[in-house]
Amino acid sequence: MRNELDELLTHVLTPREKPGDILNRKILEQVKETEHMNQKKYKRASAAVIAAAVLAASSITAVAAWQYRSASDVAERAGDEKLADYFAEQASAAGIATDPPGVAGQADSANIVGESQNFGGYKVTVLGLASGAELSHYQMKSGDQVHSDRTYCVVAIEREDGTEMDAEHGNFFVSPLIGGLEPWVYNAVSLCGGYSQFVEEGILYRLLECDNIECFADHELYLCVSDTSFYDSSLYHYDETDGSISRNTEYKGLNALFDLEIDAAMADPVKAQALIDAVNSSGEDDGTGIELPKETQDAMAWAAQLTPENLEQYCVRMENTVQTVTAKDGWYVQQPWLVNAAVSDTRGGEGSRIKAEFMTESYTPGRLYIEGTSTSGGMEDLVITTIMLNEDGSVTFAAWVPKDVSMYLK
Amino acid sequence: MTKQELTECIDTYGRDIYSFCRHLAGNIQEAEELYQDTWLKTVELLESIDSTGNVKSYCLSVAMRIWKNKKRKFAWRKRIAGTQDYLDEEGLEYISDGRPASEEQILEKERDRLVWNAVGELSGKLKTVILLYYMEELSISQIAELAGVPEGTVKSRLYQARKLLEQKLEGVLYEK
Repeated sequence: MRNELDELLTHVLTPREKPGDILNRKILEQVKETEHMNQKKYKRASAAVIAAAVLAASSITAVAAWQYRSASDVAERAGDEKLADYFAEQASAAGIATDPPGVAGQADSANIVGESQNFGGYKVTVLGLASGAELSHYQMKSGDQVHSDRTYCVVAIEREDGTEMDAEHGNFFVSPLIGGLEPWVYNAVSLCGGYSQFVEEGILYRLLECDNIECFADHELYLCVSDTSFYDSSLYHYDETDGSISRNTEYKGLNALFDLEIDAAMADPVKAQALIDAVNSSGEDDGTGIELPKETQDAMAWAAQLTPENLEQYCVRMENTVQTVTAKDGWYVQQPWLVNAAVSDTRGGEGSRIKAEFMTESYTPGRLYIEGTSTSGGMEDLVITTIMLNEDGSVTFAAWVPKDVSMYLK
Repeated sequence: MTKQELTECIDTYGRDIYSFCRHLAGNIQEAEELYQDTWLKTVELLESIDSTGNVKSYCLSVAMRIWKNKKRKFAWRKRIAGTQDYLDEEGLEYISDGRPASEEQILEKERDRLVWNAVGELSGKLKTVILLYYMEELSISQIAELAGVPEGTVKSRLYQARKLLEQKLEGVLYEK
């Protein structure tokens, strides 16, 4: 049987799936067409531009943006007249002329409209920001859910040295970010975002939309613009202690970060929590479009509410599972049946061990990290594991169970 | 790495790397991102291609690292939900080329689907070893070097994975 299995696996697993030509072309396009392309992320510039960049490194300026298309124009070019009208109304209310083209401002979030940042040889200018329900002709749908309460943002991206942007250039990531929420999880992608863009006179205009972020007005809010396809954690720092997000100043490419100052009165914690829940549950289908069973969603929602502060209120620690392990003893813990799903996928004869690199690279010493796992996916066998990286490099592991599962089972 | 070198590498190893990404990630969208990131990272890291070096192994190790980091970021949600690595039908369409499928082809496709599902259900480490060994045809020592673990660990994982696959594919194997 062993040989048959080998033959079967060799036959079936032979690589047959070819990457698409478009995908390969995209890779080549992203890699600069220079003799040595290993400096891909470091946008090259002429000597003159470098000199200017040194003088104006990290420049953040409010510019007279008459040379750009207005946010209203950009929305119109995107075929969204309703949104174009809204931007025009906002510009009018803010006393900003739109003819000749100007910046469409918005009374409640005009603070960054017109602001520019220069990084990595690019200049990014915010041309418009608007949030609200039913502002657009179009409605985003995900599954059965219609997303009509949205945030829209228009930015212009151009090269500092004046060379024209490529009409096909799509390798930028524009997204609002929310202080206190992991930016790699909560960004335009997970907030059901979408964009349209065009190039005119060498300037790339992008209209971004995503779920309305005004409900997070009691958080620090940001708008990031980077020269990557998706959010890249190496471009921004997320401070887990205070939830703030900042630029990685070591990065040589484009990683602009604007502060959004939305009126705190717009905050709506209930709505914000609903968005957080939606992001958490939407990530579970892993892009497959397969919806998770309700009991799994319920278990996830319940476990997601656990914090170091309320853990003892809802769960009971199984004292015989508490143990401190170190690199010296191979990170092995004694309850493999608990560790398997939670912090390691090492199985069988090797025993079970905590992923050392997972702990040391990602975790802050002294902070309790909570994870949940359920073999069935439901509450009935939900086990919560807590992990703490100690100052001395050891890791303390414990398993908990919900105090009264019956109250969560219907 | 020059553009010419990159083009040649993608031509030569693109299929191998893509297949690995495709089945490591489990769905097309993530696989394409992983594949793209793998090449971009490889270009960033490699000054030039050393013809004596093993570019394929290098790319596979880059893909593994990127995937591991990515998984780590979403570890919480993944763990709560359990493993959600699915293989969608799109990934298994290579048998069909537009011609009506014969009965034999349909049976083959179903067998392949069972095999892929069984492999997909393996834990991350076991699945990786199986893909590197059978799909990428790397030796035990190459896998050990690439994964940064002793050869004995690779053998042990391979053994465990085979045992599990034997159980899961019992029906398919007896049918043969």
